[in-house]
Amino acid sequence: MFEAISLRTLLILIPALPLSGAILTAIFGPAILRRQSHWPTVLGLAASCICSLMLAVKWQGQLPQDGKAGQGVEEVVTLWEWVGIPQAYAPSPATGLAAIAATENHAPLDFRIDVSLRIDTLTATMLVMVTLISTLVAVYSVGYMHGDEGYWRFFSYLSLFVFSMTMLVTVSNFVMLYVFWEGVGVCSYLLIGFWYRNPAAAAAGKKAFLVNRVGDFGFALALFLMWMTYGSLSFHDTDTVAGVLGARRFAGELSFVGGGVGTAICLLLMAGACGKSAQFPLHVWLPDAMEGPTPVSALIHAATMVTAGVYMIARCMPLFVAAPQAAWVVAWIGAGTALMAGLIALTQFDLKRVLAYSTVSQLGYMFLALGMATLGGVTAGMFHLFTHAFFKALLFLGAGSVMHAMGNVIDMRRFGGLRHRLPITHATFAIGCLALAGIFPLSGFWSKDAILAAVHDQAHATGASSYRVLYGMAMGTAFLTAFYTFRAFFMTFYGPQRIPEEAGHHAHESPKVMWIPLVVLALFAALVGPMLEWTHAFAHWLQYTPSLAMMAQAAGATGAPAAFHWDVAVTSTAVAVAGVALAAFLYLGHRREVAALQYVFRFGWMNPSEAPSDWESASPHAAAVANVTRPGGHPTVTGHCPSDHPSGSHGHEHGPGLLALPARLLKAVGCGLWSLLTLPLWLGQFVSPYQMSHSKFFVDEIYDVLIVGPLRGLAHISYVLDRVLVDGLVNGVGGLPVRLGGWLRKSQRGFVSLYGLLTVVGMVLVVVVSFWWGV
Amino acid sequence: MDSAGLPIFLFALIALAVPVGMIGLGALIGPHRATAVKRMPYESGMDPIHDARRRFDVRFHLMAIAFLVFDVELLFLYPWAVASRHPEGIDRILQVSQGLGERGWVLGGVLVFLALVAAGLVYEWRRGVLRWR
Amino acid sequence: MPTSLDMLFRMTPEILLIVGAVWIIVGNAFAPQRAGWWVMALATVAMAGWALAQQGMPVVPAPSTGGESVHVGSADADSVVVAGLAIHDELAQAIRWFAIVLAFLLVVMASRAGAESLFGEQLGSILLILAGIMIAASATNLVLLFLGLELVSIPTYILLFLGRANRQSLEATAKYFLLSILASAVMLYGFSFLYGSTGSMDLSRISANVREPASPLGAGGIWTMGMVLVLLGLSFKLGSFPAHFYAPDVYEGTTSVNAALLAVAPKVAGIVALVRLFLMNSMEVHPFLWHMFLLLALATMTIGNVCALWQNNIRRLLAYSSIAHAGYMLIGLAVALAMWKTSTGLQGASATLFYLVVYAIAVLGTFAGLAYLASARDEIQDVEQLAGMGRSYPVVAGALGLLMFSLSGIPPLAGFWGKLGLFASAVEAAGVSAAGVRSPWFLVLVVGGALNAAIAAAYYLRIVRTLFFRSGTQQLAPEGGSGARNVAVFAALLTLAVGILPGPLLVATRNATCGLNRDRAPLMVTAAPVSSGHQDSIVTRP
Repeated sequence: MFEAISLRTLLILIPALPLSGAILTAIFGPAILRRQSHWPTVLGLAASCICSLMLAVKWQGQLPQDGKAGQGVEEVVTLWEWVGIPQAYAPSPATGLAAIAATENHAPLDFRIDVSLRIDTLTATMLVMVTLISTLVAVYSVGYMHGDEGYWRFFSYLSLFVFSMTMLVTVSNFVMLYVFWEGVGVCSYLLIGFWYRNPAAAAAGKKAFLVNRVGDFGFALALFLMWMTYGSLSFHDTDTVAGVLGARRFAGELSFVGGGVGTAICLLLMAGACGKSAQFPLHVWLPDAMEGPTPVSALIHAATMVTAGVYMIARCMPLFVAAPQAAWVVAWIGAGTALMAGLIALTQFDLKRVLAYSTVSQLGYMFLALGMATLGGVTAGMFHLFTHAFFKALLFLGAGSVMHAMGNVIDMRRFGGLRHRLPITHATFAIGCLALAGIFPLSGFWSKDAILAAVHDQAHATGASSYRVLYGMAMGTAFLTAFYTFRAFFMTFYGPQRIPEEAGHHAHESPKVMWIPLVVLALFAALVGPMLEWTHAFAHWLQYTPSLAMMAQAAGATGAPAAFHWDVAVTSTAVAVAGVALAAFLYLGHRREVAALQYVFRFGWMNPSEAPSDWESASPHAAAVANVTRPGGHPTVTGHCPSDHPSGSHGHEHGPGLLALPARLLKAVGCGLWSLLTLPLWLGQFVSPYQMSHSKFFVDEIYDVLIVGPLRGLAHISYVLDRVLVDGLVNGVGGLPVRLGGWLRKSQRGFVSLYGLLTVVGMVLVVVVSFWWGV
Repeated sequence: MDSAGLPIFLFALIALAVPVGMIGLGALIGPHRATAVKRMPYESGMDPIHDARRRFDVRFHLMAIAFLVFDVELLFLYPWAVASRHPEGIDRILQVSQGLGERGWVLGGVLVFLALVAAGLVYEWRRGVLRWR
Repeated sequence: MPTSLDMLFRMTPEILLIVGAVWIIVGNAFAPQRAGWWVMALATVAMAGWALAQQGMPVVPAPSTGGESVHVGSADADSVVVAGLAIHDELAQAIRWFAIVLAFLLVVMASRAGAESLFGEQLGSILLILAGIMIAASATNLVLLFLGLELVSIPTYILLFLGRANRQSLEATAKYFLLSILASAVMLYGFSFLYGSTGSMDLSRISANVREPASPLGAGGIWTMGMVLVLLGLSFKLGSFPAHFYAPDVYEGTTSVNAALLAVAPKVAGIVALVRLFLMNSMEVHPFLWHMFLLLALATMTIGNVCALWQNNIRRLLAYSSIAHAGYMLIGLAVALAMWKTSTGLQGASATLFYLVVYAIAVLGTFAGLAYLASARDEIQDVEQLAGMGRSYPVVAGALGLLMFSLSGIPPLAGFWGKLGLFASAVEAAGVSAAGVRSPWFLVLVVGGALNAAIAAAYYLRIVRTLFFRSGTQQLAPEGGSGARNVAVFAALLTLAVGILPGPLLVATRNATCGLNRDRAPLMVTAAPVSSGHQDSIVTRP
């Protein structure tokens, strides 16, 4: 039976099952299924997941067994022709760009878009990941969304999303990719604004949609340019035209476009990826997207949809290899975003927001790896995508479990010490945190290490200092990741037990249907990395993708991905452990966060009279605390004056032995780094580094000032102009016929002669005007 | 426009000039002696002053239209009858433009025409147009 | 050489339709019965379709792909049959097929229209009108063309009279009748100019004589004047400026089935007549002519859309919308006329035909939906009457919504491809051209068209909003019959299908137009100038 199902059938079934689930839920959900609306979705997704696994296994069987490097294997199933315009575009030497057009003799090219599905190892990987996680999330949602009034709506959207996502990774054409790119965007919009009665959710949905449009605009331009340059928008070769990523191009028969045009295409593609994958400067929508239901955050905004950009760049990797400057930009955007988001995540108090910034940061990591434009880089990036999906989904679902128990409270300052109340969540969350922090031997360690190794290799291979800087940034991000992950972990599960009153009697472990997915995901988060990486199986598997096979060929006969470097592994582990240790110091037991922060950031060591105070004992309304914790609060800038924070004076005195070493350490770090980095700001008495991080580096505010404000002003001007000028004009133009019509209506009953007269007058008018114009 | 427009222009001019001239001349030259009878629209018998929307029996209209229709149809037969016997008539035209040689088609053509008219007559009769109740 | 039998064979579909129509009209006077004659009408249409199928389509060679020189070739001259006054080329066959489809839809839709005793007249008139379209589509002679156009007009008067027997309906009939006669007179006047300037009623002779420089009258004033008058006369059929005034009153006054027929049949006939007369006939185009098309297009769509914005009566709104759509179609004709010798011109003509088909299906479906929702006594008049239909009649309301989206040209639907083709051809005419007339005025046309499309979206979407997002104040009792509902749903599905797979229809319309310049040199896609061949006629005759 297993053999009987063809690849073609499986390929069609994988998206078709979620689609049918969505349709069935939409039709039968509101009236018939009601509280059972999850069944079509859960069953459809599970079946789709099984199909994906079967597909991967079958495909593994079809790969060439000799394992020669650089051999791309793909299969394309064309279902039907969607659009076919014969001879749509005639590339000619005069139009310039068609230097490497698909046909050499400048014959006109057909504009043809097929609905075709492809299978190669890259697609198979994405399919397995997407369907597996979405199945688990759907099961989890049965418990999480229980009793919601939009129950069927949720599952219908969820299925629709999985359909779009599976299609996105399966289609073999840039236009279809764009279509489903927008499809997942729409699903994301619908699900972020799922609780549309909540204005914040509606606004977040709108923001996500609009920010994504900016990126999509770039993506669309990239497609136009690609059509003009390559004369095709297909991945694969069709019978008449060579595809952009087709075999003829990989075989060297036709080349890839480099230079200005190639770079432009790649940068525009990257703009699209930045929007979808929340990279600087378009990362602002993702944290706000946490307004959606938590399973959605786990599935769409952590594990699957946001990785579409990574998938797209990996798919188009040959274009980036041909345009190395663009790849360099990708690497810098990735590293910069990773570092920035890591810094922001340090100070957030909203558990989901910490995880959201962590997602942004980890996606930056993936882009950094892709930006190496080497085989090692791409496989490392994809591997990180794969492992990250599991542990980040796990973390989000864990956060959802906490939220569920805490009565939808998500502010970490309001609960704590939950490890006894939520034992399973605690354990699985711990595994997720360890994996995210990159502690040996969990998944995160292997994938993060692969990325670092790829950057390391590239730095050595090119000798360029910029790659060394990137390596440093990546290392720094690894430290930050470990720190903020465990900061959140300790704040939530350790310390004295505190439960907000909203929780009521809910403050207990979640139902079985919710914690079983957590356990499954935890298993994956722990095991996927070591199992796949130990033998480099993942990298070997991935390099059969045609897009990557060429790079494997270029990498040499071995086709080896980045080797395992002991020095990199040891360094990164040490850095991660240091991050965990710092978090443990600041948040385990007595919370010393505020005290330490005040001490460091207010440069307390310069003023011996100021003793560090403890957060626990400080009045929550104390100016100092409010100063650093209240989002958007204006910082008080007279930093040294003791009277500025009265709470600081009656805090616990800690023994000098306990604080001496870390204080010294912090002092060194603070003096050396913070002063240098932020002295200008501090000198300007404008804002403290803590506030910078807490306010997300004011990116939203900068956008407000630079983009939203002027746009709003422009909109206002336009509004006034519209009111006065356009409306006046339209009302005038439109009103004239209305007045004429009113006049006609008064006199029209029985006055058909008027129509005749007007007709004749009109005829004369037309003739006169035309003669006057033309003759 | 080239010179071809000139004849049309002259034609239009003359067409305009003749009626305007006639009416104008009449108004200028003719004697004006108005009496009460002369100022009535119709001088013959019928009282011209009554409601313009007075109803005529609808049967008049039906009859008139039926007569008109069949009268016009009959008119079509005259040119056919004349031309079908004439060597330079319909025959020739048909020969040239369609390759229809046989006279039978000419007869057949008019028979189709007559059949259609007959169908009209049957319809009219059935609908009761011809009945004067 | 075509024989007389050949001619009869070629005209069988039309003959069948006419005989069937007469039979139904007379027969119904004897045995007034709704269902029987309805089936009879359907059978007539089916027989006509069968007869048409026997003739086959002229074979158009598929454009070769990947070859070195690509011709969007014209069909074999052998497969085009010229019979008497008629020519059955790709265009004629395509329109005849389309007329059969329209006839079928209209008959199905009219399953409950009008009074039972006059139901035969209703069906018969529909069949006659469609026969008229078929004749007009295949005419190569002014007389036959006029005959076809009148066969569209005269049964329309009867149909309008057969509508609801109230004051408004009678008034609409009278208006339509008088204005139609005026338009016909103007057109006939134009025909007389054409005959006068060239000495022939035959389209090919007319064009041949005009092209001869030695001809005493030449391509000069009288011939041009004739073409202008014909265009203005036909503008009544199209419902375009300056003869559009009748549309709102008449649509408002008559039934939905009749309105559908009015919105579709004369437009099809008018467009095909324009294509025949102007594209097949007038090769040495005076720029004056396309100037006029361009002006008419701009004026028509602007008037239609701007007036429709302010309408609360849905029938008047749709009337103005049909005026606006006539304007869009004129865009393509203007392009075709200005650039006839290039691929752009071909694209303009085929885009017009594509638009015509898409528009006809959509508007037919819309009026079918309204016919279904109407009660036995009153038609739907106010847009507000549709409020809440989305909830009470989701299927029909969904179909109407889809059709509104298509009419406003929203992407996944057929209307989008129609507008895209028209605007694309105009853009091409404005910018990239090596031959033909390149004029920035086409840019004005495109901008005007785009603005109009935006305006139009407003009132179409208002209908959609009313359908789905307003709660109904009054209950309607739909009594239009399931036939009308089925046509509405079918049209919506067709619109969706063409929107998703526009390919076949695009190819079909392209093939329909490519026979028009058969006597030109093969058309180069790369828009190279083509020598203006002076073969003297389109049809070859022994």
